[in-house]
This record gives sequence, structure tokens and C-alpha cells, in this order.
Amino acid sequence: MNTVSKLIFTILFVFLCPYYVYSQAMHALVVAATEDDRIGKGVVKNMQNMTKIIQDVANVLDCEFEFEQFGDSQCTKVDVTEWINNLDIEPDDVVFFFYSGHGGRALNDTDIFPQMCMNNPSNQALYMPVAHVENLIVKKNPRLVIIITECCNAESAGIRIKPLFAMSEEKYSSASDYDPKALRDLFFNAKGIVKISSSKPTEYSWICNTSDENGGGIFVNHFIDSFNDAVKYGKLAADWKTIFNSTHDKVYAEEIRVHGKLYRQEPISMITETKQQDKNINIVKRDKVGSLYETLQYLVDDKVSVDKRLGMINQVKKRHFTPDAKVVTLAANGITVIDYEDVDVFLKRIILSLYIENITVLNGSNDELNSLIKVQEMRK
Amino acid sequence: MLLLIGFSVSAQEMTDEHKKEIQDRVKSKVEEFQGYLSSIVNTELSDVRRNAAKESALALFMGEGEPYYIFDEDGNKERHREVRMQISSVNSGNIGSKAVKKYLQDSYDNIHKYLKVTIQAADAVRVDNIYKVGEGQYECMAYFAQKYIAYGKDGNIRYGDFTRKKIKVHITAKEIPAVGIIFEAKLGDIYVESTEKTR
Amino acid sequence: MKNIIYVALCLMTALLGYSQIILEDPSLSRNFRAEVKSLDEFAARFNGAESHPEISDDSLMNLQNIKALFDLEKVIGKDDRSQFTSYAMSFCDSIFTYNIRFSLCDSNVFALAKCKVKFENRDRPISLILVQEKTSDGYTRWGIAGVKGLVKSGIIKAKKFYNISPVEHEIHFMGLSDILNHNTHKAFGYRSLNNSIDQLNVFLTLIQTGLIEFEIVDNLEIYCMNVPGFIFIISEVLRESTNSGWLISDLFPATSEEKKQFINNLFIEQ
Repeated sequence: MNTVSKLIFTILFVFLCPYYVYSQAMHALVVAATEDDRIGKGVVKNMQNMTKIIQDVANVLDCEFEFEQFGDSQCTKVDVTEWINNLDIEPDDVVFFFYSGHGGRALNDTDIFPQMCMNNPSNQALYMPVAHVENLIVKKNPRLVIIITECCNAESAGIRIKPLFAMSEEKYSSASDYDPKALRDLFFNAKGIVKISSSKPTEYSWICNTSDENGGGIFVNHFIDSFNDAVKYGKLAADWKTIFNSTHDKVYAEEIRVHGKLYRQEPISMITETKQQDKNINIVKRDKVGSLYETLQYLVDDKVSVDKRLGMINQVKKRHFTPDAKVVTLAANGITVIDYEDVDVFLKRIILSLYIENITVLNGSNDELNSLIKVQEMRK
Repeated sequence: MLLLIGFSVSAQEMTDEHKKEIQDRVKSKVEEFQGYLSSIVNTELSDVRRNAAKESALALFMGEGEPYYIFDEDGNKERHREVRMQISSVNSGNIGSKAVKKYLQDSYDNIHKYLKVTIQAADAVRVDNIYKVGEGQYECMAYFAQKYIAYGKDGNIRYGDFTRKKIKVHITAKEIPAVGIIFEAKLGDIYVESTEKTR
Repeated sequence: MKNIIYVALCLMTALLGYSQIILEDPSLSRNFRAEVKSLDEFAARFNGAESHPEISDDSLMNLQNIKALFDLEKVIGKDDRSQFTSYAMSFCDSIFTYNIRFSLCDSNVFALAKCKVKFENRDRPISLILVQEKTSDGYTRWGIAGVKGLVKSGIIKAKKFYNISPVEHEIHFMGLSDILNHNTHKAFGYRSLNNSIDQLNVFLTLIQTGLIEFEIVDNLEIYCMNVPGFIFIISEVLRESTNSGWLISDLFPATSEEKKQFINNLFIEQ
């Protein structure tokens, strides 16, 4: 190759190669025993809250995102194992796992982390240890593993307790509420394993079994407060140890009085996270309808023409919804239902809107036809 | 066609927290309505998109722009006419009123008279306090302003006005199985005050 | 090359010529934010809960907000401007001295709606007086407290009295079926000499029986008698200005007795 050719080739290489970004994705699974007689309502609240958190993160970072939500019928060792085994993980990917339901531990168990009872607390053979989930995921070799469980580490307790925390006042979630750098630090500039559970061995985890603003677990609600302190309000450093410590202190400070007896709850963790250099994230390209979550983000993506998106409504309806499906929209507080629409009215509305940035799917199946989904809007 | 709107329930009062969320939602709906109005008269957009905007605008209104019934507290059907828009001109007094459905259709049809249309909206929508007016029934007002200029085929201004629009909003608490109580906000009558600057 | 540039220029011009332009008019948002868009907003600014956006947050804020609630064009146009200004200052003093709060739901606040109704196929002007009130169930509502103009507009003929025969009692008033059914336009003339007509009840009955059709409200004013020593009137003004919306269009001093008389006159057909 002569000098001129080499020069041309070098110039072409510099300009045509994309600048140095990592190709990375987040894979998230939220699992909950939503039909349990004693704690089902509180567990649903936990599921909604954690779904919103992780979808907000993906929306703000605009990364490749694979999301699944398993309600009661899929809250099993088999389904979770299958999901993990089917993951297609790149070395730079993040895997996030959350479970809410009953939990327990065997006698003489040396692992401080509990076993998840899944949807059948009466059959120990169907329990899934947190350690097992960790092993399955780690085998896939992602860069960061986050496992968070809210369940007892002894016998479960679903007694209603009086509210111990107030939901913070929030308008519609907006991407501008979050600090993208803080989110990158937590999810894409970190490497290792983050394992957190809501109570230490022999302790109960307490949950308010209502679907109102006081519902959900003590641990999840304080975790969300601490998480928001780090990624929205700048009150905490954006690393998992700091968030856990803050959550731990808040939960442990609660005096839980039930039938005249005083209980305490102390979350536990094993965090081997290390910090890496800040880097740009590969912006996701949405060019097709896929999962329910992906489809709805595509429909609000203003980089795609409105006419094209309008033209996809029938396809989307056939792929994800039953003929008479409805969509429930929840307010920012996660409680007040502010809209209940036919699915085609909803789809048209979100396509035409100049104000919707993202849609959080709080409840809906990626694979089955949905007759009812619950969403929240992230607005500009 | 008369639409039946379900019986509202007293099972849940609107708390202050609910009120705030619903006021935000009303504001969003009025912003969307503003957006739809702009799209309907936008000569640059496809008919498909303009038509979708017209349909989505109607879906915001009580009865979707048609006459409708609601059930009162005693279970009696109360008939209501279709939502209307009353226009009052500073220049020429009361112009009259027309059904919102007709207004939207006329806006959709009339753009072919013009070369282009420009619309500017004030950057604020105001939503007033929510008042309880019956069991499970609430009302409030929302306000926004727009400037509208239409250019003829010769490029000269054919029509211009500054309008302030006031929209009555009806909020109904309904119990939906498997969902719970919803507070559904629908737009009602619109009062428009206009200062025309036609050349 | 020249052809390429020429075509490109033409294309650009065509695109610019047909593009949708949103004109930048900074005054639109500014005026809208300043406007008193509703009586709720009027009350909020009157009571110090909200402020005109261009009034500084200092010790004079409340006073400046009350001043900004006046229709300044009306003030400037007054012949006795200095006297009006003096009334306005006393008015503000009275508000702060007696810590007066404005609310529509006040027995001293009345809405006067000048309306058009259809009676016997003709448009007739009447006035409705409305008051806002709270029910025992906690609902807020407007109620029609009075109606006037039914006589003036010819809907009812009440000036003349007609006679029922002094001997009618002997035939057990059988003549009533004749005079009441066959000369209905004289109906109100058969009332006792000491009975006045309640126009509110007449109006509502005519509405219920479908003999009157309500058309439109042509003009709306709010009369307020809740500030000691003063009566003020609020009207809605549409202008492209930071002084627009619901504003105090008139103000005059009034003692308690004068206020009572004013209220009476509000209800009585002149």
C-alpha cells in the first residue's frame, strides 16, 4: 500500500468507525407472589414500585433493556431458572433480579441469605435459594449482578401494621428528575455482585398488605427512598454500599409493634462492587416491535415518524392485546388511577403526544395477550 | 347516539393527594387538547395524522362529543346535550355556540382554504381548584390561550385571532372491577373569548 | 454544478415557503401568566395566596396585588380619576384593617347575569341573580336567587289588575274556568292587590313547562359587598395585556344601609 492509500485508509478508519462506546444491555426480572392470601396486595405494590424504578433507569439511560415481570403463576423456580438460562449476556451487561414474597431458611443453613418460597410456601422442594439465583446468573458472566429480595428470613408474617412512612410528593416522573451520571455509576460503571435481602437470619420482613399509599414492604419503601436520595436528590453518593447502608439504618430504626410485641428488621447485604471509568452507553435503536415494554417505548419515540407509528397500531393490538383490552394509567404516586382507556384510544394518544417521554409498564405480559395493563407515563 | 356513563360511587372520597394528581392529569389532558388542535389545522401534516388528532381530541370529551346520559344519586338517568363551544368576540359580541364535534370537523375541513396556518400557545395551562358537586362527581376549570394566523393562497393574512379558552372539566369517581376506584377526567363545555384581527 | 446549486436553492425556498412556522411572540405567555384567568385566581391574589408574576416579593406585595386587580384602563378613563384613586386606597386600607378574604361563596357576593331567553318565538332580555353556597352535603353550588325583567320584556303582564266579579261567589266562582283558561295573558292581573309577583318562581315554572327556553348569557358581573365601606364590581376583560381577565371594573363607597338598599335594588325590576 503506498503512502497516499495508507493515509486515506487511516482517515476513513478514524471517521467511519464509531467512537469508542461499550455495547451493553440491562436484563431485569421482577418476580412476586402476587396472589398470596396474606401478603399479596403488599407484594403487588412492591412489584409495581421496583418495576417503575428499573424501567425509569432504563428509560433515562436509554440503554438496551430486556424486562420481564413474573406474577404469581410464573413465580416458580422453573420459570426463573428458564429465564436466567435463556439470557443472552454480553460481558458488559447488567442483570437485575428482584423477588417479593414469602421466604424462609432451613435449620443449620450457613448461608445468611434466605430461600425464596416462590408461589408455594407449603412445599419446600419448590423453594429457590437466593444463592442459587446468584450462581445461575454469575455463570453467564455479566459485568454486574444485582439481586434484591424482600422476604422473611424465618417464618413469613403478613400482619397489617400501621403506616410507617409517607410516600414523597412527586409529580409525573421526568427524565430530568434523575442524575444520569449517578445512574451510570450504579449500573454501567460498576462491576461485581450486589446482593441485598430485607432481613437477617431468623428475622421476619414486614409488609403493609394494602394497595394504597402505605402499601408494600418496609424494606422496599426505604430502599426506594435511599435510591432516590442517590440518583435524584444528590443526598447520597451513587454507590450500592452507601445506598444499602442508608436503607439498613432506616429499616433498623423502625419500631415494629405487632400484638404488643416489639420487632426489629435488619437488612443484610453482600456487595463486591467496584467502580469503573465513566463511559458512554450505546443508545438503543428501536426499529421493530418486540416485547410489550419495547413496543410502547417505540410508540413514543419521536425519532420515528408519527404516521409510521400510527400505522402500527393494529399490529401492536394483535401482538399484545385481547380485542377488548383496557389500559390503566396510574399517577406519579403509583396509587391514584387517572385513566382507564380502550387500548386503541391509549395507543393513539401516546403516539400523538408531544409530552410523553417513556411509558413504564407496571403490570403486563410480554408474551401473552393482555386484557388489562397498568402503566405510568414519564412526561417532559 | 346517546352514550351511557356509569354510576359513580361514594366508596372513595377525593383526598388532597388525589386532588393534586388529578389536577396534574387535567393539565396534561388540556395540553394534549391544545396539541390536537394545532395538529388538526396544520397544513404540513398528513390527513391520517390530522384525523387521528381529531379522534383523540373527541375522546377527551364527555360523551366523546355526543349527547350522553349519566345516572344521578337516585339511579335516575339524567340526559345531557353534547358538549359545546361558545364563542364570544371582543369585536362583535356573542357569536354563538356550536357542538365541539362540529368545531373539530370544521377545523379539519377548513384548512384547505389556506396556504399555511401558524399557531402559538401560551406556555402555561392553569387548572383551578376541584369542587365536589355530587356523590362521586367533581368539577374544575382549566384555561389556556392561543394565537392563530391563517395565510391565504396569495400569502397574505386572511384571518388572525387571539383566543382564551376556558374548559369545564368533569371528574367522575368510578369503581372498576380488578382495577379499583378511578377518577376519570373528561372535558366539558368550552367558553372561548376571541379578539379577531382579520385583514 | 451551477444547476445543482440552483436546484438546491429552489428546494430550500420551497421547503421554507411551505413550512409551518410558529411565530415567536413572547408577550403571549407573559400576558397569559399575568392575566386573572378565573375568579379562583382573583380570590387567590386578593387573599395573598398567589401573586401577579411581575410583582416583587416584598412587604408591599399584597397591596400591589390588590392594586393590580383593578381594570387600569377603566381607572385611567374616569373623569374623577383622583377621587377614584383615593377610594381605591381607602378600599385597600379597609381590606387590610379588617383582614377581609374574598370568596365567591359569601352571602355578600352576587352574580348578575344578563341573559337572553326565547318566549313565544322571540328573544327577550332578562337578568338572573345568582349566589354561590355550600350545601349540607358539603357541595358548592350556584343557586338562582332572583330573576328580573320578566315584566319589562313582556313575558308577564303585571301592571294591570283585572276584576273577578264581586258576585262570583254566589255561583261558586265557576267563572274562573272562563277567565283563567281563555284569557291567559291576563293571568297575573287576577292576583290580590297586595300580592307582589315572585319572578324567580314564575321564571322556573315557565322553564319547567317549556314555555321559556334559555338561550345565552350576554353579560356577567360580580357584585361584592364584603369589604366594609365599599361596593365593588368584577367583570371579565379580554385584552392582550398584563392587566386583563377578571378585574375590578368599578368601586364606590357605601355604608351598610346603602349596601342593603343596593342589594334590594339588585333584585327589583326598575
